[in-house]
Amino acid sequence: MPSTTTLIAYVIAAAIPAFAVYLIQALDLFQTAKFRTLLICVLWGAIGAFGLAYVINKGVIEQLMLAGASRNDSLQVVVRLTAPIIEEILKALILIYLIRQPSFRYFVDGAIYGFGVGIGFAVIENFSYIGASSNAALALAASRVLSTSLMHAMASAIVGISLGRLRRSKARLLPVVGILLAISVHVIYNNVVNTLTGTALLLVAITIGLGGAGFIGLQISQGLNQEKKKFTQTFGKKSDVSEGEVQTIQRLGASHLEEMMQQLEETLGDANIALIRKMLVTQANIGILQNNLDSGNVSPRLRKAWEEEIAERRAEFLQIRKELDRSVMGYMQRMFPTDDQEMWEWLQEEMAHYDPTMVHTFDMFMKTSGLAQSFTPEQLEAMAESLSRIGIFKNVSLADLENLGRAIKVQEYKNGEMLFDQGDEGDAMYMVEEGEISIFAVDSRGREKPLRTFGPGSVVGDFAVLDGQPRSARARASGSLKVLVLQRQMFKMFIQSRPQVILAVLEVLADKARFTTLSVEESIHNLSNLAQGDYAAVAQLDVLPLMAPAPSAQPTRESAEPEVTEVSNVHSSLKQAFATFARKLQGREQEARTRATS
Amino acid sequence: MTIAEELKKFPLFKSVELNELEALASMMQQQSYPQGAVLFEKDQPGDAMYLIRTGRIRVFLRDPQGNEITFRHFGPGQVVGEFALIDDKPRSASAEAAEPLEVMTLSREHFLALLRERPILGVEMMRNLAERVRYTTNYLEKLFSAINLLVNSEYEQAIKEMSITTDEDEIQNLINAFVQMVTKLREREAALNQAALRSEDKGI
Repeated sequence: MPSTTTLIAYVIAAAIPAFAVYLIQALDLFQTAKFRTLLICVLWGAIGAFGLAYVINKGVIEQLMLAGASRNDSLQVVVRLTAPIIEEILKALILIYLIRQPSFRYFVDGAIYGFGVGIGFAVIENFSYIGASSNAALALAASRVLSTSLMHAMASAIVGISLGRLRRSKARLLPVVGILLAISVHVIYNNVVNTLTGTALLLVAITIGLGGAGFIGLQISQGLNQEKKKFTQTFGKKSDVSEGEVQTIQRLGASHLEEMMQQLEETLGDANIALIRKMLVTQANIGILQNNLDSGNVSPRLRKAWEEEIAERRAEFLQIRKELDRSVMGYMQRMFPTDDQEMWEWLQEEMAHYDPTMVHTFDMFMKTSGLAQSFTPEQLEAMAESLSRIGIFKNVSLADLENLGRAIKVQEYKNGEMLFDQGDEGDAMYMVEEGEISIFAVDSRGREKPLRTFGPGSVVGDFAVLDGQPRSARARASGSLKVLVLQRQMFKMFIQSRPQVILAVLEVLADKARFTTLSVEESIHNLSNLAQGDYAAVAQLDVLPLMAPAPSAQPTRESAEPEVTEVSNVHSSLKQAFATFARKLQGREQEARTRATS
Repeated sequence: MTIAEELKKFPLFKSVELNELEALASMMQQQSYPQGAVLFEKDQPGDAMYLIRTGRIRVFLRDPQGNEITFRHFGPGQVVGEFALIDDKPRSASAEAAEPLEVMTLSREHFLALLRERPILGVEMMRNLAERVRYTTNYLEKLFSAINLLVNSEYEQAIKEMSITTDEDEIQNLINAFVQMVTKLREREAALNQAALRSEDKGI
């Protein structure tokens, strides 16, 4: 039966290291290390590594004694030299295995797992020492917990850190250096504690132990700073000149941010990365909108809309923050501190390249191009009103249209000057201010046949900003012409980060598409009635109410693509034609029948 | 074929990247209906799109007398009610399972959530839809001129105006119906004229 003191000694030897493992797990700010993996490490240290080391150390002693050495000499050789080598290698085995696993992402993981292995090993080793010297058990337990345990933990943590760094580094020798360092620490420690005695021993041992723990902490902190420095460099502007051209060329094409995201993904995992991406986009947009507000001489309506969006985005940001592990958030704050203005500016630019469909690149462009300054706030407000009278924009909010209006340019054409030719890419929409636009069909011999004329207040090419289809006719100025031009490029840039605008335009298009579809179905129905000789039903078409509901009538600006006629017009004229045709057929057949029977 | 690949075949999603469509596909739900089951009635709020896996959907309207007019049958790989995703307008026609039916449905709510996450999806849909409206309107105009030619019995010219093949199912159906009608009309007219001629011969 072990005495009470021995029992207490066991408890100390087990509980304190266990607490240390718990502590380091809790302190793992980034929580990328998995608790289960940590447990496996502790168990490997305690059972696998210690068990094997016990057998091997014993074997070495036996071999040395067989070779003629005294028991004490053999023991000294093992304790001072072979045991540290063997034990460090055995403890490292699990880490070498883990480095290939996805749960081992970077050096902080390595430090934690290494710490676990070392503690596991030390607990059992301490148990064996306590068991062997029951009279001084308590003192032994206390001193070993603070010294040997920490030494074991530190040595393996060094190996873990070196392996973890290997993931991001090309220095293949790093792990070898790590293991050699761990072995050296262990050898030195064992030699020191076997040479010194009494209080000196205790002091030196504890100093080494605690110093080691501090050293690991320092390593982690330093590693994180390096990580931050690397990201800062990745952002480009400050990138090392000495990095050499090769690397610069390799980087061309690939976004720096993409590179950074890949690194982060290794560190934090897919799920967190998706959230971080969202968070960076949200942050970038808040910054962009803030810039809009700061630089803008804009109407109160637009200002209010921007302020509202900022508030919305802030709420979104807080939501993402809630979803992100608190630990990951800690990492992000260290990497991307909110007060680092310069960094956030790069980040916005980088985000705009990396994720252009989410970031308000339009607003960034407005700021850098100076285009936004060409209209007064009052003019923009008026512009928004006219844009909203164009069919495709009728559901878009006035504030959004006002923002979009900033990209509009005034252009003047002389009489007869061409705006676009048949077959040209549909790259812009024109709103006539003064003068007229004449549309011509061009035949194969190049002769122009006038189709239509558009006067002040009308729109030409509104569909072009949506689909960019080639122009189906030629457009010329008739008289001196002044138009407002919206480039398709600008429109695309504007909408791509604004789902609400996209949806508003989609609604109008769906409405039209619904109507054309029904119009086609109705026509098929009429055609088959006619084919079956049922003329009466079709002849009634222009009298009966519409089968298909017409798109909601709305006072819209006279708007047309030279090639896209308002669908409802086509529909009603088509119905007329069907009815006329059916009556004609009725007449013809009637006549033929009369002739046949006369 | 994966659901995303199936989606890619629809005009609405034609130019949307496959990985965007995978996100969309992951939000779809499997549902089955026995033959004769009603999927939705005209004027009900439209809140979902149906992608047919097996079976057929009949889309119909009721005329003022209450007779059902079948507009179209939709079969495997075809989609019904796609516009319900974009606006919550009432259904413009009724739909029922013409055969035991298995569909994947996508709700408007899910679609809107995805659109907020990936606006690019909407941009592509916008382009497709605009092209489609433009294209279909063009064809309806062609039909208009063809009918006007028929009024003056210019059959050859009218056929020439219309008979072009197209990738769009919707338009191809229209062309087929048109050609069939013209053929039938000419047969009938020829028969009548012959009868008239015979009777006139007898008359002489």
